[in-house]
Amino acid sequence: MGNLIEKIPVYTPQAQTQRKSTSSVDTGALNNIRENHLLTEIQNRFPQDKIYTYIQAEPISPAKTRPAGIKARKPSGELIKENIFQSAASTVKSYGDYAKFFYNAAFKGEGKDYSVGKINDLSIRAGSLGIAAVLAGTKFFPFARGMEFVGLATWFASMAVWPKILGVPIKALYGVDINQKYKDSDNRVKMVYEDNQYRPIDIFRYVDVDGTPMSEEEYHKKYNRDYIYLEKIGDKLGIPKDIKNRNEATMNKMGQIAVQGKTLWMLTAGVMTPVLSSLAADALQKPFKDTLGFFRTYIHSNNLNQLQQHVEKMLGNQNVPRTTDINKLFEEFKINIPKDVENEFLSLIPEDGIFSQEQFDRLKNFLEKRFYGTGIHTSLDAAMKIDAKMTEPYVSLNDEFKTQLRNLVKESFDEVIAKLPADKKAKLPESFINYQGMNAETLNNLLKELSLDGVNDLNKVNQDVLRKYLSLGVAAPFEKDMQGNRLLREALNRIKASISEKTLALYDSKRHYIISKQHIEKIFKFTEMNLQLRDSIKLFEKATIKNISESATAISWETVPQKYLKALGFSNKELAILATVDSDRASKLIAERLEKIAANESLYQKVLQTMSKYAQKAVSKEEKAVIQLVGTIDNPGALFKLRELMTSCAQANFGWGMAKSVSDFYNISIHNVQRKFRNTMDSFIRPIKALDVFKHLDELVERMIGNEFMFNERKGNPDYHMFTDMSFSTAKASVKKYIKNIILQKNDINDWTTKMEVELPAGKRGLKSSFPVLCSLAEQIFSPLHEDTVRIITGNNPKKVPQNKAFIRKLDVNNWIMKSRFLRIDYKLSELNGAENYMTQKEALNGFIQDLRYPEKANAAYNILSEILEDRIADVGERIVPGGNTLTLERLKNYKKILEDFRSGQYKLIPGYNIESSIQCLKESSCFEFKTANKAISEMSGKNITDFIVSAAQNQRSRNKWLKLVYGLLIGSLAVSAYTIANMGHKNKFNKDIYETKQPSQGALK
Amino acid sequence: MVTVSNFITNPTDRPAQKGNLVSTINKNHSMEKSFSAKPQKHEPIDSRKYKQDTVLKNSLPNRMWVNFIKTMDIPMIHFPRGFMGTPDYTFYEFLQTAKFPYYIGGPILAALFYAGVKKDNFKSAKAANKVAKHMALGVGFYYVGAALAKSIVNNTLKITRGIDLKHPYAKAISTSTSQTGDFKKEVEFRTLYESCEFTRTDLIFDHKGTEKNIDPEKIIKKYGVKGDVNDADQTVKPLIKKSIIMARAWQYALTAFFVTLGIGIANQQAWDVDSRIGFKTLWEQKVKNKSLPKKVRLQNLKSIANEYALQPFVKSCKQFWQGHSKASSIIGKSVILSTAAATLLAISLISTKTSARGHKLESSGTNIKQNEEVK
Repeated sequence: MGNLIEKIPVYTPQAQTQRKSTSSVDTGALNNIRENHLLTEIQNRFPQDKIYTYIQAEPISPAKTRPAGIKARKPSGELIKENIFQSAASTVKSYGDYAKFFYNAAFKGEGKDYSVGKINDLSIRAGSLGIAAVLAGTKFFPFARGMEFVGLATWFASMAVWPKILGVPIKALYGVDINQKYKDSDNRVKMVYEDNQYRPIDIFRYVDVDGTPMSEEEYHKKYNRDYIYLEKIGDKLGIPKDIKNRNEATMNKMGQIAVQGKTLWMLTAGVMTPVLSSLAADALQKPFKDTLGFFRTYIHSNNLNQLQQHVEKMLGNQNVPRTTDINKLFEEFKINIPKDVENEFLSLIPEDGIFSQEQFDRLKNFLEKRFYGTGIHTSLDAAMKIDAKMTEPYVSLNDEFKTQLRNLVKESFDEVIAKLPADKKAKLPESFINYQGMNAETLNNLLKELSLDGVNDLNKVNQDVLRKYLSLGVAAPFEKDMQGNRLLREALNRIKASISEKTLALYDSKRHYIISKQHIEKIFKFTEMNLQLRDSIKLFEKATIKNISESATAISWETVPQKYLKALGFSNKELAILATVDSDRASKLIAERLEKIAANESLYQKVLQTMSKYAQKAVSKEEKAVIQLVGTIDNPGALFKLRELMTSCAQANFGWGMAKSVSDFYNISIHNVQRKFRNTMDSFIRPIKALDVFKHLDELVERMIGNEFMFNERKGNPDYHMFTDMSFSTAKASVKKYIKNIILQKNDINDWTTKMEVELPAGKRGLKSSFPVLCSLAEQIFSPLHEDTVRIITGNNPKKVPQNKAFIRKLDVNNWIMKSRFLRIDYKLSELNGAENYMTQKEALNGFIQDLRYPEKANAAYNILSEILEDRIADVGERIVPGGNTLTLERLKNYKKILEDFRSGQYKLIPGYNIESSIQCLKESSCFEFKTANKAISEMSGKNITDFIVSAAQNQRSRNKWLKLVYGLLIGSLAVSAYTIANMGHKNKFNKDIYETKQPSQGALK
Repeated sequence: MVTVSNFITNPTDRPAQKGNLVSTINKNHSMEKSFSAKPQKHEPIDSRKYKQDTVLKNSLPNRMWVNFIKTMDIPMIHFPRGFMGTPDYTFYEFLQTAKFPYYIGGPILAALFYAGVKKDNFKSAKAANKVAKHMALGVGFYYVGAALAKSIVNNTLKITRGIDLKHPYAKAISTSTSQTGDFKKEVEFRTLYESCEFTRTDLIFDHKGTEKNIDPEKIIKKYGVKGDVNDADQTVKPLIKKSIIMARAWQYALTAFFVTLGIGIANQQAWDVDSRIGFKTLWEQKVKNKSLPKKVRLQNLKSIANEYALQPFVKSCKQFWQGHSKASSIIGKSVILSTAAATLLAISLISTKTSARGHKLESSGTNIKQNEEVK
């Protein structure tokens, strides 16, 4: 029961002293005289009244012991003066004490108000930590999880910091530190002004003027009187000097200010704690995110590099053969199959490798479930077919089976015969009625005839053969009796049918699959290995390029659009409109903004430079990841190499089917990575191109519809039918409007044409029926950047020029690729217009290939072709044209070499270089074409500008709203605080400030 | 001079009526002056409801009323007095003002958080809705959790020992301290057991309060002191102190557990079901609809409560237990289990360790009937 029981006083019965009624008379002489005197006087005054005497009470439980040796302690409290770090350290230390307080209180019931109160502090912290942990548990990503704890920390920090902030001006103005702590005689840390009714004035006795607590001796060496500190504060507070008890008056004033300060604290804490916490957490977000992102990328990129090294080791080289042994690969990659999965798998495989139908189905289900969505499971069947017994049910031809066969023959006979009526039985031959069943020899002979005597397991064909001939064989001895005996024939037919049926049933019960345990384990292990390796690569993708919360690309997507928005200079009002209106109105606003920027040369330059700076940053981050994963033709990345290794491993172990599946499995990843990169790139550079188009719109339009003269010339041309009834200026204005629209809004060609018809309502045919216009439109919109724009982005900083030039090249190539994707429509158009075939992608690219011959065009052609060729790395191992050869890395390298030769002009130096065959080789490579089937254009391209900006505006607007609220609360609270602090310590109804003038003899408060 | 005729002819000068002898003495005083009586010094009327510390009735409505008054006093009395820096400002008042940030801090943080959530497009508006729902539930469940933790401990003590930590009493404030009539503080509503060092056992055992709202015999009995025992209150007082300390410690500790549990339950997907429209229609058609008979409406109310509160609650508890990942399942399970364990421990410790059974007690004399376990 703890110590308390021992402390509970034990009461012993008191001997009830029999008090005499006269006891008062007997006691103390002096008392007696006084009492008697009183008594007589009373008796004299009130003679008629009865007199009662008062008997003094005796305590029921008188204290037996008188406390000895205890005297009032000399107060030993002292002020605490510590800096912010010491204060933090002592706070941390105090939680240890609080835990002790809790133990004593909760388990022993010991404590005091002070210690019990401190348990609350501890429990609030513990509870908040619990809440943070629980909330972090609901989050899926490390940053979100971490922010729960950051939020918790900032919350408590701002809770602690706000009174300190309030205390600074109060102390500066009045000399009163509302946060002043002291240690009381029991070493308990308390606030000096905690209880206004308890003022520990003593602790100010030996305090230096600057507030430093001193020992008595030290103090007296320096000063000749106590409370020098209070005197100084009294001066600061303007307490008159010549009054009585001046230090007490000072202390009272200090009390007033402390009460006011603490009330202000309580009024504002509820607002300021969340506000400061929110601001601090917001400020910490970026550094926290960046640090976390850096470490994540670092760790996963390191892991990827290690994996690549392992893969390269296993891939071997000219001297070292390639490793395709699954067990060796398992060891090399340190693959661990989860124990429960492995156990489940093993439990599904019988030791002898013989599966019943049910067992087989269960295994198949397990594998399908485990490897669902990998594409690999589809080839499991194929892989298992390496031995036919794996997918075909077998029946073992053993002695037991043979006996059962003979038994069923006899049974069939007996059943049929038993059913025959007696009169019919008489008509049947004796040998039939008394059939004794098939003997073992007959069955063996039959099997020998069917050449099944050496077979252990019957496959499906053999099963059918045996079933057929068994019934025939049984009927054979009665063949001669059957002639003319219709009854026997019928009976035998029935028996045959019964035997056939029963055999089938027997097969069903006996059927099994035979799968070598070793082989199925190999398949399982191989698939598991691929899954795990893919997962480890996925971790890298998640940290960098994947479209998932908190990846590097997601962070770019959070920040870059915001920077663009800022560069474009929308006002808050415009942002609010952008965030809420439909996309048509939003794009109108954006168009206006872009026009304004295009009209102002210096603004145009500034915006362009800012946007290209941020785009470069974001794009280069992703490009790095792509290079690490996929690599280039000259230096393939981890994912590519892994595919190569695993494909050869599958080929060696399971054959072509599995190899194809595995190759596809990795190819999908490679394609996704490439597409993601293209998508981001396109999204971020599109606004730059849009600005370029807006700036040079007149030029573009003239290139499209010609100048006024050409326009009028073309009027009769059916290709320009949409301009038939238009003047040049109207046509120009309409096309301008149209281009602005499509550049800002839609991604899809169908939207283009619809929009064109809205803008140019010349009949119903519109743009769709005019190749030249459509194609020149695409040509203009996706054209390379205007030379002025190029000059602006390139800039003058020699350090950055090459980098900027590379960026512009990428931008132009991307535009070209996008254009060719849009031009997919060509095929449809060519059908529509019959023979008139303007330009297909292939033709366009062939045009570039032709350009390689001309030195002045070779560079531009090289840029585009090599970029497209690099994308082809995803298709290695596939037939890019049906019926064609499989694309290999060597072929790609070869094509690249040709391109290099043309760009550098090397081919001219090599004697006998066959230009024609090189060009032909490129043309026939089928590499310069896009596989665009089954994919929406919007999926292959980036975000359109309106969506891009609207989404950024929505983000900015929520942030603005938050800023408005948070700063509103902050400024409001600060204003209230400032006003209150400025008016503290004033005379009022409660504090009348009436002082009594000091008498000459009056000294300081001692 | 005082003359008889003067005294008779001038009735207004009668001191008995006027209470002023001076005017009658000085004949030369003008009438007006003699009429102006010196203002009498009245004792201030003591309008206080509680003229001494009084134990109040410990009923729920009464406690709610007291809490209401206390809450109203925070802005009406304590804050103004604090801002004036009144010399008689007490620690009690400071603690009252400290409730203000406790109640507005959480909601303001939630509001700030919600203000920063993107709401402008359909997808983000939906997500924001979800966030808001979780936050509102979280704030609600936080306070519910805290109240639940306190009430579990309090009820344990109430059942086992007959003392209620919430038992209110009115502390009468001396009239001498209020220096002016502004923001006059007449009473501080406190609880009998708020301090373990200065527990108001005087109000419990000495029947000082005018309204006798407490039965000391019952408390003594509940503490396990049986029979006619000498100075039973002296035995019980230290045990009450022990009970208060234990109970407070466990109240604080359980609060930490229960608020964590509350927030955990509030942040499960079970609450994500977009139910506003369904709920509104059902509410308007099945419950608010007055054409339906009352019984049916009540039944409907029950089923709605079941569907929109109870079922998600149960489901969210399950989800919290299971978690969506290994870490969250560990967190969920450990929070639920540790809350249950801590609650049981608290109840068992409080109900076993505060009893007087096993203490040596002495009978008051005549009727020697000892406590059960006297050794």
